[in-house]
Amino acid sequence: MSYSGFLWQRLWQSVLTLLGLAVIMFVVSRVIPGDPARLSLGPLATDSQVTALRHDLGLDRPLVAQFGVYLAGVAHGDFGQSLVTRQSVFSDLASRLPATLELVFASIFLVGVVGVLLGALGARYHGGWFDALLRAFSLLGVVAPSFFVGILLQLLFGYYLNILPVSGQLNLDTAYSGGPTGMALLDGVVTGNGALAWDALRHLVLPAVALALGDLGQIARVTRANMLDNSRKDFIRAQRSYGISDALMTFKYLLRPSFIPSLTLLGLAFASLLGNAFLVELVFSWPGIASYASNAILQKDFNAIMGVVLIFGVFFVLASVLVDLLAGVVNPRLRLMGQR
Amino acid sequence: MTWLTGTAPFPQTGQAPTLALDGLSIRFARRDVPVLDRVSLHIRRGERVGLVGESGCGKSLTMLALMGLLPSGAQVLGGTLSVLGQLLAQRAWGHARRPAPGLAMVFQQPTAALNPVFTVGDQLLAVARTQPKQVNKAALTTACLTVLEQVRLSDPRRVFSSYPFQLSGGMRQRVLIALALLRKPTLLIADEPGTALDVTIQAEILSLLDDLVREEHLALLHITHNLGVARETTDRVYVMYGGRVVEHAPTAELFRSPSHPYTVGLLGSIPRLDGSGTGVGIPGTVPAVQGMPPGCRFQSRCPLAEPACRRLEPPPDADEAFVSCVHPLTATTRPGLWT
Amino acid sequence: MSAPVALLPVAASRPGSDGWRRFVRSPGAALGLVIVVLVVLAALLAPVITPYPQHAGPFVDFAHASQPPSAGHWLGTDAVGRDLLTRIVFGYRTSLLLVVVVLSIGIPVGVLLGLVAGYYGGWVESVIMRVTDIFLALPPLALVLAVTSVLTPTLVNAMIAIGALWWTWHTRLVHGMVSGLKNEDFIEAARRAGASDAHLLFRELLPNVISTVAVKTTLDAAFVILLGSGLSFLGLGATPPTPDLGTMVSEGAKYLPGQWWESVFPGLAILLVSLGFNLLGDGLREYFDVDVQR
Repeated sequence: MSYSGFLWQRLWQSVLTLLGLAVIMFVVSRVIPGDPARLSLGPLATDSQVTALRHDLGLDRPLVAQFGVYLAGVAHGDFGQSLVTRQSVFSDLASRLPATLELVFASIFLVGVVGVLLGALGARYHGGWFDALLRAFSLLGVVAPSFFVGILLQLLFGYYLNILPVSGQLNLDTAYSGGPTGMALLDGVVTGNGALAWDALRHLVLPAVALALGDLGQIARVTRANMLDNSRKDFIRAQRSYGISDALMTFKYLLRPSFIPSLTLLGLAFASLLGNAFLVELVFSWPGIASYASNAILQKDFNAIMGVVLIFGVFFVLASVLVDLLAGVVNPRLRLMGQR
Repeated sequence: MTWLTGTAPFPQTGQAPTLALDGLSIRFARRDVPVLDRVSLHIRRGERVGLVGESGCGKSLTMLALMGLLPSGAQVLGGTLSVLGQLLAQRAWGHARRPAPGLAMVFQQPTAALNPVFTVGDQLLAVARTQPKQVNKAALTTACLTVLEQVRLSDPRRVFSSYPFQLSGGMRQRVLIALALLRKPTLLIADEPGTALDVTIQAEILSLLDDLVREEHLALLHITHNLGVARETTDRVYVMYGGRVVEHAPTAELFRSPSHPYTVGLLGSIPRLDGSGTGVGIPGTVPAVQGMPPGCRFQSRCPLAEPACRRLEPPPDADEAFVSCVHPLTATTRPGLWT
Repeated sequence: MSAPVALLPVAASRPGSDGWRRFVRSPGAALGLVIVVLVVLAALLAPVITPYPQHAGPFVDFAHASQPPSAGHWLGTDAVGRDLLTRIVFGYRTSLLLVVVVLSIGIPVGVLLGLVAGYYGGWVESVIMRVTDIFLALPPLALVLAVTSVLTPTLVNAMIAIGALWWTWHTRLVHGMVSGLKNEDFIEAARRAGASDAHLLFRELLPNVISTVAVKTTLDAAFVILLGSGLSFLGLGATPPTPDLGTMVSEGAKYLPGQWWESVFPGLAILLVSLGFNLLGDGLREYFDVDVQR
């Protein structure tokens, strides 16, 4: 089928996926033992209070009706009310999501840009000490749990060397109103507030590195391997024989055909980054949705859990579609001749 | 000793050859016997010279050495290369990883030799930019379109903006020639051009190369294992065996009266419509480099081998026609050799 | 824990002695094998080889709490006085148990479904692959978190949650391979000779996919350990006092930087076993000569 047809199909599948996710979540949450109303009110509540709250929350209506009400609410941006914070889940998420996004975007940048760059350099200087160092570094990134890397980074750069902060998004005394986007670094840059930007950057470095390390190592390895494979191909020898410079060969003509398989990895990396963000946020006390979600899980705050899971689902699905889109941009055969 | 065949020297002998390779010897690391032994080639503008031999005879290695694309394991033991009379430093060819100015190569496999994720135009421009006279992009593009016209592509603009997979095999081969032409070469090396294509397309490509040699006054080194092609498309031929040049003659003469036992066997083995030709290959196989005897490398398979063959040296002069053999064949001795 | 392994299915070849030489020649593979074997042995022999096996259960000794590494406690003690070395070795038991349970549920199911879907085709294939696609499209961690959150956060539930997802990758992998293989000549020949479906599935097709599955299983083990330790770091793993490496890191992190050993040593232990399985998996990939994209 044509490429644009393929993209539409992916979008449609995404919607179905999200719907399926919502259904699964909803069914599981309503079927387990444990009464959310009672949990919310505490063990000292009377039966009539519990029943009243159940009625208020609509928990006494049939499951399908409950789901329908929920979906209608979601369509209006209403994810229900958090049992824990008593506020709208939507506003809870909205206030905490940007911080998580800032962290994830910074990590993606590291993975996609630094990872590919290191892979290219490793291929260029392969066999040398740089290459060996790079491969060891990649391996370590892949095998180390991200929360542990976070702790080690805190110990080294925070406590022993004392050059970078170990927690939070900003220093306590830095003035920040939540800016236009809620992403401190971006806001600092956009509003020209140098002090804010600098502080935000200093706080962002360690968590972003801890989060990115695993996938960065993987992308570097794969890019390097692909480049080495491709460097033996005829078209590379041919282009070299026409006198094209080494630098141009490595970073343009060898890199682009080698980069395409890495794109799929980048998409998968996004999913794992979302998951690992949870762990890294906790280690660095990052004010994102991780602590909110952890609390929600431990307190069985269903609306909050649903909200978080759906948000995750949306981003995950968006990332998959984006990867397919990017694959078309980089691979002309796919773009012009459609899905094989 | 090497016998000169008595043919008149070639035309234009007074000028310096476009390419003069003399005494090239190459060995692979840790092996004593050189895999190329004092190979010499001279080529002049307007000439179409063939380098003929079976797989493993060293013709590809010679080509790689000229283009500076030698693999890292190959060690140059000796030899000089001059282009247009200028002697090149050793670092400008051999392992240079890029060819000396004036040399360009047309690769063998049109599918594999073009970068799949860049348009033909991108790849042409990249080569055009390496030429010294840096101009703006529009001028470069014009140069690329011109060269696409030169290789007889009917819609240069369309080809320019296409990706390799959108073009046919014949078109891709023409693009490869165009890429070589952009280097404004004086010598074009064609590595088995068109062998990966249909015979009819191959014929068109070979005819195109002929025309280019004439129009641009190029020198052409045509490397092939296909004797039929060599006969149609070259003016003179060097025959290689086992890393040495064993015979050098004008094409017509080589095919009419070959003098080296190997050449005779090679030509004789081609089945012909009139019933002549054995249809059988030369008995035995090419021995490994280690197993080569001193002197003539064809001794182990030659019915006329004798002790004197062990003292045979490669020919001294690449300009003259010669047979590198102790007892070259004549009209009387030739017919019964391989039957 | 980085992204799960994506594989390009390729018909596996018999390794032979050449494969073994490749395996042994790569120092990484040999090291990986050594690490894995040592960890497994240590976990099996835990009660016998650890200095304070009783510390693996309910045990407190505040007099010796939070002590740095010493002769009596090689890796120090934790906040309630338990020997860290002992608890780490017992923690390996928990990790390996998780690996065994998850993979022994997930892989046989996944491989079977993949074989069936690839071989029979038709509506059987459609149904199986649709379901698999749906599961694959869902973000894994989100689902795992969701499931473990609505069930009580215990190790058993974590295993169930993870195991319930694991089959999907293997199904897709095996299905891809079998779809290609079923048209090969050797299958045709066996079918004409009257072989039953079961024979074809298990005697002809399965051995051809097994080496790829084996490589992926080893790499999976590493991923399961990282995933499991991540869950327990969040508080969703084994219930105390069962020793669990992720929980130990999370508990120990409260005492940074002063009593750094309480979180660093368990973390290193996780890294070590993950390294072992990764190196072993890479080595097996060389041995079987399979095209596995990490």
